[in-house]
Amino acid sequence: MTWRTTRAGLSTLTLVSLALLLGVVTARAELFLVSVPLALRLLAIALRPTTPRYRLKHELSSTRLLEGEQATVTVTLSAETRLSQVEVFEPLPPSVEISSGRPRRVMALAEGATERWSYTFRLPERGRYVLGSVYLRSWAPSGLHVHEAAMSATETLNVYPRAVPLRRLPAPLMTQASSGNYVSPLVGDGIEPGEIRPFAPGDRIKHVNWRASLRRDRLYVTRYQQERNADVVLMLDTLSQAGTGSATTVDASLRAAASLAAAYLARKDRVGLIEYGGVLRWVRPGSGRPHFERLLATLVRAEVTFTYVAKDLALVPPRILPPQALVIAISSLLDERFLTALGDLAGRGFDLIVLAVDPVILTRAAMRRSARVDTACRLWTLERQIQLDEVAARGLRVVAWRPDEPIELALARIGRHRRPRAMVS
Amino acid sequence: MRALTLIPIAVMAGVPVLMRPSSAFAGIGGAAALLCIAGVVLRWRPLVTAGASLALMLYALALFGARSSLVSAIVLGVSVALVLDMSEFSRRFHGAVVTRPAFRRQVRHWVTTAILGVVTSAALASVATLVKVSGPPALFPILAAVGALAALAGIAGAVSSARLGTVSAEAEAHSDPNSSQAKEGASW
Repeated sequence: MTWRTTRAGLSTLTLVSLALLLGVVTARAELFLVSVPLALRLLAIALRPTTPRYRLKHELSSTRLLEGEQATVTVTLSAETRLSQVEVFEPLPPSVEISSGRPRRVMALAEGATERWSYTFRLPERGRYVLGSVYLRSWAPSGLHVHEAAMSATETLNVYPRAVPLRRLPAPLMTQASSGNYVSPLVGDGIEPGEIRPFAPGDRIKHVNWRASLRRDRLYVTRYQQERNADVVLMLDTLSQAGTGSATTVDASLRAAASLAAAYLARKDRVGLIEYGGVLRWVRPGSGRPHFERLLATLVRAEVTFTYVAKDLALVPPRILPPQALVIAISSLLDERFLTALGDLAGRGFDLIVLAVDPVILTRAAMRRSARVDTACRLWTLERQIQLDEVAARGLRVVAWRPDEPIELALARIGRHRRPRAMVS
Repeated sequence: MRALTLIPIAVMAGVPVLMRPSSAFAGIGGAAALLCIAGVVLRWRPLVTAGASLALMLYALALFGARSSLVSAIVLGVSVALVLDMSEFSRRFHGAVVTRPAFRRQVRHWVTTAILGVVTSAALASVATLVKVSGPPALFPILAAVGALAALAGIAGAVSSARLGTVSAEAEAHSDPNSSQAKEGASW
């Protein structure tokens, strides 16, 4: 980059011209004298400052955050030449809330000097933010010259939806073959004692129940019940949303999905994800901490993409949607296409639970309070209740969830209606 | 920072009013000051220019029938230059953290501007007075023409070398990381 002249010179030029013109018109020497300091200022344009050289370092305290958490950016500027007036600025996404410091700073640095400063910001909304685009402007003190340069974005900050710990979860009706936390009625390897039977050739000595054997004067062995895990697929509705900012039905759904995923993964279940919206995205069921990170990374990118096209769930491969999986659909049920997809899943015999996120409360919060809005919201609530009853009448297990209440309350309502029965596949 | 700009604005508007203390002059002077203050507050440079222009015109009016006042001219010229400089500084660094060394350096620049303006104006006024007293009257028009041509040539040279108006630093959006400048970041 080279030095460039700003438009500040135009103001000076205008005033010099005006002073000279008035001097000529009035034939007064004073007006020519008035123009002298201004003309000097203008002549300073011809003096080009030396090209600044510097090194800039941008550090982000963390590249992964939860909603509402804070991050600190530390910027270090080392001057290789004298910087008489240098402005460093980092544009931040609009949703960022600065907690301390400022992302824009004006400094004067001597040759070889280093300045280091930091600022802290909070990200209230989940998302994927690209930071590190730092603009640096060296100004001539008169403001007539500027030298600009920019450092391109290098750091990506992922802000994940905040997961809340859940203690009670809907138990799946069917389990899978891998080891997990669900006690199976079938006997095999495990730690839950099942039955005691007489010793038979082939039984292992370590399974001999010595207390029963001594009492009966014959060898008995204890058999254990198998412990199995389950496949849980979280199905997110991103066809439409209600609310504004980070208080939308999709955001509430994502927080619920993150909480459910964390809780099921802690139980050694395999958790998958299907984002059913304008774009059909999925994550194959898996388990473990890295898989949770993978799920969160997918949740971060979830957004409403408008489309007229209804996605067919038949496109989803069976390994993504295993036949015996527990499917938890999280939706505001605003789009009829999602209801159709749910009907399709229920028709295919999936163990399906619908967590219906209440859009009324989020919409009401986004609007100015008035009698008309209150009436409309009450009517909408009634209509929604009818809709949920109709969905339940179709044989789907629906539970309403108000985003302002703990998700565990809604899940407890599911628990009362289900009769968990662990079966071995 | 904005409060500091009020000082040269008050001087600039006050000079013509002090020369002709009347309600009409005070009103126009006040209007000029208000325009400049509005420009500083709204960070809109044309308003500052308009205010300074009004003050210059008021000064030209105040000179009608008045005795020669070189000091007022020097004070007005320096104050107008400082109004432009200081309003520009507060405009371009609005909302930024200005460190103490940067501010000190800027104040030094303003002081230098003021001193240089005063010295140059005084020197030119002295030379003009000397020529007027000792020089032959026949040379006056020639000297005036040469001086005017030199001033015009100097300004034209400065303006053409700067390519005024072709590129505006302010017009460059801060928040566009995909700009051509941003792509050059790799060379850092």
